[in-house]
Amino acid sequence: MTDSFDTSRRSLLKGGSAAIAAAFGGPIAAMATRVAEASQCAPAAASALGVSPYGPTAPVKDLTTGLPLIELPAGFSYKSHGWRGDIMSDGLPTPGAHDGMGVVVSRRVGRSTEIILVRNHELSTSSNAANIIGGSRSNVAKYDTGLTGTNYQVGGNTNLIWRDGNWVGSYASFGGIYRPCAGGSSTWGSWLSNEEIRSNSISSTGKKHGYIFEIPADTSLNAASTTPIYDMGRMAHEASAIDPATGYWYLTEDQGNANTLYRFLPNNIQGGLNSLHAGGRLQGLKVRNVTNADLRDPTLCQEFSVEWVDVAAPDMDGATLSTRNGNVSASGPYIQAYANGAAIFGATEGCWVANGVVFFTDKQVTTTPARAGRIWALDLATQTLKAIFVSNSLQVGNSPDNLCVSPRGGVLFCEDGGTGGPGNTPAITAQHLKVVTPQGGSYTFAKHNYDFTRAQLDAVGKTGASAGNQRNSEWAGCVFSPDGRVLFVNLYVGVTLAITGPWQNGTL
Amino acid sequence: MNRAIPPTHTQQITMKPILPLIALLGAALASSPAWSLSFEGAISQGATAVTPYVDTGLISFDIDFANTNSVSLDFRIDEDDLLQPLALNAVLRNFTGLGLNSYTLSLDKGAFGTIGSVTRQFGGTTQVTLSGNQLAQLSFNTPEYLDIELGNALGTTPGAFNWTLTGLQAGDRVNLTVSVGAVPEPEAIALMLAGLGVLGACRLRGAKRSPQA
Repeated sequence: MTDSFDTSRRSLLKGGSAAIAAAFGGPIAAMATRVAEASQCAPAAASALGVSPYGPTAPVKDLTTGLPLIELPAGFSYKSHGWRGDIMSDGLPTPGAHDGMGVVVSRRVGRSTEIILVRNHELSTSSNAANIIGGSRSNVAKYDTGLTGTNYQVGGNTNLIWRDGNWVGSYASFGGIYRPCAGGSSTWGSWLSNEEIRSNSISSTGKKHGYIFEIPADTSLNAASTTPIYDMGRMAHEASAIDPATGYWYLTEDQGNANTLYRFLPNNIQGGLNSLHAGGRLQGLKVRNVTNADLRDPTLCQEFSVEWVDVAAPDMDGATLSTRNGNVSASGPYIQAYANGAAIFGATEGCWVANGVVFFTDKQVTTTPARAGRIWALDLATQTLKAIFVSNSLQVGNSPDNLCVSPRGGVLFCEDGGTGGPGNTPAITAQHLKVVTPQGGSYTFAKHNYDFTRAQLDAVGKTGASAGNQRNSEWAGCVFSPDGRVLFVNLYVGVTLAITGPWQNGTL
Repeated sequence: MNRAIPPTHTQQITMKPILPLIALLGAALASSPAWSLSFEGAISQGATAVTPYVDTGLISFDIDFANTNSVSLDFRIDEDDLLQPLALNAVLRNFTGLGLNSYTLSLDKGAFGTIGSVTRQFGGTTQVTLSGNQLAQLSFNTPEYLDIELGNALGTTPGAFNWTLTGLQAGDRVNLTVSVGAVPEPEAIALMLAGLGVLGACRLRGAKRSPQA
């Protein structure tokens, strides 16, 4: 197909990030060079773990609670907010399972600097309707309050406000969905909340699940639409990332051995809130001249020329699919993409577009063959896919989940692995935030350190927080402030952090 | 070099007499003017931006530092009010990408009066040192990567209170220069250590030669 594009739309879509850069200035201007560097990997069988330019990590006390939640390099500090169970600005308790998160607005309010984030709560089901996020509030939009089998869908979203370096509020913004995992920010001040489920079930209210929904930055001004964006597909969604230059979205799917990278070409070329509901064209990635290329075991820096194949019916039911690797459970979109020759990945997860490059992770871990996670970079100008990080050891990278690119061009990923798998000696005792080097290696930026007793948590007012050793639970939702000064990130156990420090000492 | 353009009109607001003392002092003091100020411009380098917020009785501004070059601001005192202090507040934003050790504020006229609050976004302490009465250095115990609020610029920070200036009167033109003290970058530190190493090697070589001399 030919990718024609209206230049006025380009200007509109790019306007958001350009305006942010103009308003906040600073090191964001360096982005182009550093992203280019990120593809300068040195060919090898696999990636290696290197020494962090930021230095070794050590426990650092949270400026909010005084608890050493994480380990960081010297000079970095952080504030926590929105712990599971904390009462939010709307009087509701903060839900748990903090997952994908994005900055949807960054602006000046008077002389104050304000950032609005939307956070996913990757909750699945409950037999108790009271557990539906915002269930008790009519002003919180909810997709489905019906039962599927004997359970309600209790996943959803909260919006957070960060002003002048302080957390100042949060509130429930959407509910009634199943397991929103990674998600992604639009360029017009909203968030896509993506259900992670491949299911043909229909709830008591006649709803199916596995869709994408759009959440505005301020739901007191614009309530979230309860209509799914059907044309983005019904599948075990993970991330969605927009290319500001074209308005195309790139989507990942956590469906083991039955997924590819998707792209969505919206019908509404102007963008804007609810514009994606006007539909569009869903496509799957295919390696050029190779039918159903198996991309689960690349070597570092291996490249593939790619093209896109259509998914004609994005809302089609899933089924068992017979593939070159045996029978797999597949979504309707993947069944169609596969039939048209789409590639095979292990389990795609995090996705980010920066300066014409789509970065995405494959988080699959297997012992034989040794797989502990891959990160791919798709150059949109050349349509060349490159394996910029190939972990065959849990020490190097343990199931890379969400990822983000800093405004300076550094690639950061959140580990979401277990303790079993290739390279698990010495024992895996914690999950990390790791950085991909321009040459294709990795280094540790931060280490999980959450291990507190009930008494310790109660003493700092966190009565709803989980006690015990949570060091091996995942990191999630990493995203930098547009000026690159603050990294926002979640501990899945139920804490949101804002980290700052000497970023210039390393590649982030 | 950037020169911020002053507002097209001078912000002049006449203060209502608020102190009973004024009435007691009779007609002479009743006609006493309020502080009235004009922002005359600022000089900065590169992408560093200055936004003035001059108001009655208040010198106020924001500086978005994109580099470590000093910023020079000029104000004119149009009218004075000897019964009220002239207040000062500011927001200093750090977009340099560097950790800052200090800010230095220097006046070419008048003097710092009350030393107001300094609020750092991620905490940490600030030591304010006056050299004479026209130079104030704000030294941080840990490098500052974010913004600081000088006085009560944002109006929302609990306990924040403004700085004051003294010794100024109608007709004065006052220059306030804000300088940045940055933590050396790793490359600079490496260069410095390399230089020290060379110096040490030279000294060692000299020491070895001395006995032979």
